[in-house]
This record gives sequence, structure tokens and C-alpha cells, in this order.
Amino acid sequence: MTDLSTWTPRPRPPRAPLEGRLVRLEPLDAARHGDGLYAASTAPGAEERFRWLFEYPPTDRASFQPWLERSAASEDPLFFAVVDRATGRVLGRQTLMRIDPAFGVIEIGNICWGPDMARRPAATEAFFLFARHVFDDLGYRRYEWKCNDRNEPSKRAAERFGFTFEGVFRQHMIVKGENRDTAWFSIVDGEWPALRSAFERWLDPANFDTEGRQVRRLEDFRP
Amino acid sequence: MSVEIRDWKGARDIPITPLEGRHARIVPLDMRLHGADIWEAFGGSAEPVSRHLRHTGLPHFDSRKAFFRAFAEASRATPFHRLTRPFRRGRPRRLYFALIDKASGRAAGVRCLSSIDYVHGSVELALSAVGGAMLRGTSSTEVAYLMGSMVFETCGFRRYECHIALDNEAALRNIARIGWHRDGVIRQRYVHDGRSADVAVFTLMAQEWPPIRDAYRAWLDPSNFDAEGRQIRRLEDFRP
Repeated sequence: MTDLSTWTPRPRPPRAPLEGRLVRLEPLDAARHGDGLYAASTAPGAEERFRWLFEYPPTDRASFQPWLERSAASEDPLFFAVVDRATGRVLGRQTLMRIDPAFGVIEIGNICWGPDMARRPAATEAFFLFARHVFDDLGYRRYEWKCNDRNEPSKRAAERFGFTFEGVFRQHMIVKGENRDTAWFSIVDGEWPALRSAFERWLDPANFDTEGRQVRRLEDFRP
Repeated sequence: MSVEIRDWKGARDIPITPLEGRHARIVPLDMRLHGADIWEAFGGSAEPVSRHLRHTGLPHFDSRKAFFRAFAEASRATPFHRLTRPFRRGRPRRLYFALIDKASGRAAGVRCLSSIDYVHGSVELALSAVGGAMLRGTSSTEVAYLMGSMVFETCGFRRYECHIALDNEAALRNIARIGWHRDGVIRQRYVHDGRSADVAVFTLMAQEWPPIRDAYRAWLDPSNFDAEGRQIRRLEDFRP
């Protein structure tokens, strides 16, 4: 059993950018990211991308503004825009949420990755930047992923990222007029070093061919 | 079960009026009224009280004063509830209750409902501790029945949740015996007493409550006790 007799509360995640090779996570700013995030949020396929989120795709730029301002001001969830480092374009957004510094527990959620990053290395890197920040910079002990139990792509993503399934929390919420049973996943600090190493090796340019296709899968780098 | 939820208007307010049973009464915690009795029921001095509460996630109490201070803050949420009740936005997410043993008229336990989520209809039993007269006899079982009835029938919550540390074997056995379902285990959820705590999440759904309620009623019925007050059949024997 790990001795935690000297445990102290962890810091809250600061409002500061996180720099990767493909993307940069920037604290959401309504003026700076508004137009780009609106474009990413309304690109073809928006209905499907918003299927499991709490909100609906924005219908016009003006009505997007109040959500944008509210979200940018929020401390928990703490919103980040995912920005393409090469082009400066906004590709999507994600949040750190249910932040519990006392016990070092935090969740990634409210993920809306637009068509130019979904199922691409940029998405994996955007995820990795959060995880690395949570464990290595902030010293948290537990990193959570939750989704509707009927959201199969999200559950597959959780497993690909190395999360451990913990259970289905029945009748957890009501979302968009439907019952939501919530599937819970976590990564704990003891698991992180092996996962980090797999992410680093998968994200290495050497793992992609000239068409940008992966050579080996992320799971293949894990023990 | 259909995933569509029709006509959901949220759960109703948790009442602040006493919940009255034959053996027990549940009232909003007020340390000025209940504190001294609860302290005595839990052991009456710092070491026994802390030992009695070791599985609750509460800190170690060095003194009676520390105990009162911790619970005074806790119980402030409850009078606050009286003031804010008409304003739905201001409803507190956490409420404390004193458990009164009616035979002695004294408080002998405390319960806390937390993560009160009226919008989604979910509530957590975050603290349940009894001592003294309530350790024996039927009153603590009656408390569970009264609170379940309040959660599901009076308020219309859909989900009633309880977290139990994985090293608290007695509580794990007990809650499964009553019929709660184990949804999963949250790993490394807390740090308590310098150690990492994994917690099992147990839940009851609104649609699972009626047979459990009926079992409680049948068990609590006077006809289930002999002249010495001993149970004739066990609670789990009444479950389908």
C-alpha cells in the first residue's frame, strides 16, 4: 500500500497553454477562438458529433456567443481550444472537469473534436497533453473518462487510450430527454508511466508512413 | 427499459419536516440540540469517537471541540436549506440529519445526503453512523426505510447512491444484504489517514425500491418480533 501520510492537496490546473508537436491546447478565449470553434462545431457531421454531448450544435454564430462566453469564463469545467500548430486553426475543444485538488482526481470531458482532428494523430496528442499535464505537472492520482454507456465510439476511445473500465453507473443522468447510464473509466498514477511511454512512441514521427498512416497501433506499444 | 424519459420535471425538495417512525425520528441536524447526545452515543471521548467513525471518511477528531466544529459547519447547510427552499437555484447539494432514538428521546446517529442532484434525480447517502441505543434493536433499520421512502416516494429521485470503502467489509456485506446493486469500484478516489481509498459504488433505482420497501415494512412489523423484541425472520428473508 502506497504511503500517503505526506499527501497534500494538488494545485488546480492553471489557465495556461499546453504545447504539443501537432496541436496546442489554449485556454478558451471567446474572441480568439470563437469563429474557429464555431466553424469546427458546425462542419458537416455536427449532429453526430453532438449526439452524446449535453448541448446541441450551434445554429448560428450569434447564438453561439453566450455559450462561448459562459464556457470561457468557467473554472470547472475548464475549457481548452485545440489549435493546429501548423495553421493556427481551431480544431475542437475539450475540458478538465470535476476538479478535486484535495484528492488529486480530475476528469477529461466535454470533448468536441472537429472533423479535421477526430480519429487523427492530433486527437491522440490533444488527449495526451491533458493526461501528461494532470499526472506529471499537477501530480494528480486519478484521471477519469465518462460517457453514455450507449456511446460505443467513446468507450472504444477510452480503451484505446489505456483507461480501465470501472463500471456502469445506472440512471446517472437525464440528457436530451433520455436516460443516461454512465460508463466510468480511469487511469491511476501507477499506470501512467507505461501509458506515457506508449503515447510518446506512438506519436513519434517515425511511427507514421509518408501518407501519415500509423505504422503500429497505440495499443501495440503498451506492455 | 426505454431510454426515453417523458414528463421529467426533476426531483422534489427534500423535506425538512421530521420523518417519523415507530422507533426512530429523522430531523435536520442542529448541533446545539443534538451534538452532546451524538458525541455520547459515538463514544464520549476523542479516541473512541474517531475509532467509531473511522470508515466514514471523516477526519480523526482530537477533541470534542474539533468534533463539534466539524459538524457545526456541516449542519449549517441544513438551516440554510430552510431559507433557500423556495428558490430552486439556491438549493444546497448536501444536507445533514440527526437520528433520534424515540425510546430514549436522544439523538444517537447522523446521516448526510450529498451530491443532491434534483435535475437528474440522483442523490448520495454520504454518511451514515449510529451509536449507543441505535446500535441494537430496530431503529437504525427503520431509519434506512424512512430515508428510502423519502428519497423515492416523497421526492421522486431516480437514483440513490452510496459509496463504501473497499476495506469496510461489514458495510459491504450489509448493503448487499439489503439489496443494493454494486455498480462498480472507483479506484484511488480518496486519500484518508495517509492511505489511498478505493470505493465501491452501490445504487438503488427507483423501480427497485418497492420490493425492498415491502421487505422493510414486513420486517419492521411488530408481528416479526417475539416478546423479548428479537426478530423472528431476517430482513433478507422478506426479499423476493
